[in-house]
Amino acid sequence: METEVVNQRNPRLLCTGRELREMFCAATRRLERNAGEINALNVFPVPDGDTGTNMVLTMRSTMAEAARPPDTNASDIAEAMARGALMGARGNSGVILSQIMKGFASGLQGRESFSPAELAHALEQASKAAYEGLSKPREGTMLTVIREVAAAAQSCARQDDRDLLDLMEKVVDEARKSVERTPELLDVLKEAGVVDAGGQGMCVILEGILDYLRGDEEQPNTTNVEITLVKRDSLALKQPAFVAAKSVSRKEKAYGYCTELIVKGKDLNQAQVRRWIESQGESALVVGDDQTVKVHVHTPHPGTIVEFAISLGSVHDLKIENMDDQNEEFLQQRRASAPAPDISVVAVVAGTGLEEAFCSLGTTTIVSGGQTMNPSCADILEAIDAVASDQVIILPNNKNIIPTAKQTVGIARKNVKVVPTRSIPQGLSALVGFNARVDLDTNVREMSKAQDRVRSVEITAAVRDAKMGALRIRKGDYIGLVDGNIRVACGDLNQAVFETLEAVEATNAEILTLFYGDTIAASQAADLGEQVKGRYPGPEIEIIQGGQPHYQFIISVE
Amino acid sequence: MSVRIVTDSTSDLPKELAEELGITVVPLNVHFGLDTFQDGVDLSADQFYHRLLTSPILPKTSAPSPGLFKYHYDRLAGEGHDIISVHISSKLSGTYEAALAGKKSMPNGCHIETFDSKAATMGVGLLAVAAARAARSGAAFNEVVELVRKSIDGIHMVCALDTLDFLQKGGRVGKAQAWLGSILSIKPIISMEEGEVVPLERVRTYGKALARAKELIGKHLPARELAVVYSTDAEEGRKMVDYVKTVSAQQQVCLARFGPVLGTYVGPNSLAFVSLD
Repeated sequence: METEVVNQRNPRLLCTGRELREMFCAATRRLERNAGEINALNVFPVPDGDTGTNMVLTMRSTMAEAARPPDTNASDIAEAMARGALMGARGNSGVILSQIMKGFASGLQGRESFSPAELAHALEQASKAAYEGLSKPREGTMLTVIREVAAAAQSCARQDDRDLLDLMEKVVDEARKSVERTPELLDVLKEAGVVDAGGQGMCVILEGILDYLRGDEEQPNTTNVEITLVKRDSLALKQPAFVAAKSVSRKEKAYGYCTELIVKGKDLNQAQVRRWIESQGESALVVGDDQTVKVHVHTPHPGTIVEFAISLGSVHDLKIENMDDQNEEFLQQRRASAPAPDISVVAVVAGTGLEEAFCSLGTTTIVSGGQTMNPSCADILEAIDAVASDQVIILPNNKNIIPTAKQTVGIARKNVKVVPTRSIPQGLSALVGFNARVDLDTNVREMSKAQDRVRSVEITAAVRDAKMGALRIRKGDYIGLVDGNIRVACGDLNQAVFETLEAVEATNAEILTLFYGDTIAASQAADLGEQVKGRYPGPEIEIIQGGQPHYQFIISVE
Repeated sequence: MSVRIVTDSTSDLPKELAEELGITVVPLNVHFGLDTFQDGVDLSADQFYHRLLTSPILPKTSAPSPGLFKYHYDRLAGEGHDIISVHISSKLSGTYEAALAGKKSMPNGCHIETFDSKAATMGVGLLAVAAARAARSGAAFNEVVELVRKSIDGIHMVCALDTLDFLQKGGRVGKAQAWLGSILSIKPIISMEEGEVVPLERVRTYGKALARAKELIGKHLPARELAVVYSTDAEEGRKMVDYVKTVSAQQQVCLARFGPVLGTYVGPNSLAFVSLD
């Protein structure tokens, strides 16, 4: 019986350089698929650091370098990966990741291939290097995750019957738990209701390595939904992204059957039963003693579990439930709510409220930017890469950003189209015309038409004295722009708003949407809204917190 | 032997038209809390919309019982009729299932055919009308069955809504789910495909929704049967009828009203155009 258990798979006792490279390739792919979700674990309401994207970019550079040396020597490949990580490190998380890769490589130095114990040693070195690389190491981050993972690997490797798969299963298990504990260690995480993004990224990398060892990499097409959903949830701000991240990060493809049974027999080897059961599926639970063992596992093949149990003794309390049935409705809702399974929209926006507005209308990814902070071509390319779809529509929402956006069309490896929106109102109007159910060209055509249905009013403060035609502008004056042209300048904010609305003939509009900026209080915006309603009884009036910098008001007139 | 048509109250068939063509309309139920009404029987559309807008309780709806179908089938069969029963999409309501159960409880030898129209409102209504007109002009049971079967794919709808809220709260939002959660006010234009709600387009204002709906109607014209359905704004309904008459050069355009059951899901200020090829 014992041999039967062991024969269920070939133990993996050594890992070659080629396999090292492939397992990190798998890790990078998994990270790519989860980048959106990790990005969404943002402590700050403004996406000032896209951890997932930074880690993906760092790993890509890592893997590009890993392809250089001949593929036989684990030491050389790890060395190359460390080099690549260092060169490509992006953002804080990328820098720590590069330190981890450096330590990992030093742990494998001189090794042609490596054993479970040597892998544990390399993880230990990785953890050490990560802590040493920082002047002020902070707990509750990916540092904690790599440290706890390394410790788990060490204790697992001390048991000499453990192979690489055992070790990585322990490692991933510990990584997940460690990530879940991060809010307990870092107050900002707890307050924001998220787990640490870098820690989660670390966990995803380790999960990717485990995927490779198990030979069951998940298919990328199921993750589109995840990314979009988490992104949207997190932008609902009040939504506990912590919970969302936990429930969403699990595989979505097939839940299989929840299989539960009790085996009664003699001299049952609980540890071996557990190991075998764990190799058969997820959420494995094996408890009991040498005469009675209770088994719980989620598996695509419940029959195999039952057969196995019968080979050990008598089977009792057998329960098999199809979890796909239970989840079908839930999944369908999710799929249905995904804005674009095939097409993603990337929008350049500044301001939390505006971001939320764009996301609520089906934007997949926001590039932070606007009038005074034009994103680079690389920034937009990043967003294009991070979305899961191959077809991407870009809304630049500013005339100065249109050229940069167009530049990405030639560079990106995806099918990218730019709908040349020149303002936030145009961007929103175009987005309203977006329909995930029709093809890319039709969307671009309809969205381009839709952007012209709206007029844009922007109110900002003059940064210097100026004279524009008949208009004399003094520094600090509020100026009103209609479709990008300065039409009004005066010392009073509300008056500037009214004069500009007059200039745009707001009385003929059907709907006025006022987005108030980051310096405007909600009550002040509400007061102004009342006054606007008084003057323009015809159109519907919406007052929305835009949170944009520099512009006291952005008004969409439609 | 003559053929009689049975439908349900989600067809929104105007009473006079149903009476004129001898169509039996089996009512669904509307519940405000513990108050239960039969759609269009003891709750008029006016009463319903008033209550919808003033009641803190959201109405719920339920299918007629199989027994009610059996009652009507018995009655018609007893008068010596064959029966063709056409109903709202089975993805939106259990009505078709109830009709089917009613049919199964009938003795062998009764000619009853039940259909899932995969449509709602006058999509079901126009199907019943077409079947009734064919029966009236002397078509045999099998011929009417064949006509209905072929006509189902020829039902088209373009429906402008004031909001998706009612569809969402009623759990019938279907593929228009993608448009939920917008921070900005949007006006959806929906249709039905494969028996469920699908989003066609969204615009910012009701005026634009109506204008766009008019453009979308074009590709379904001319048609065998035409209808306009409104929920609360009869004036817009009449205007739309005039518009459809003008662009289609067809004089028969039926004006109908979303009854209490469908009103629960479309809400006030909804306007639909329905055609049957």
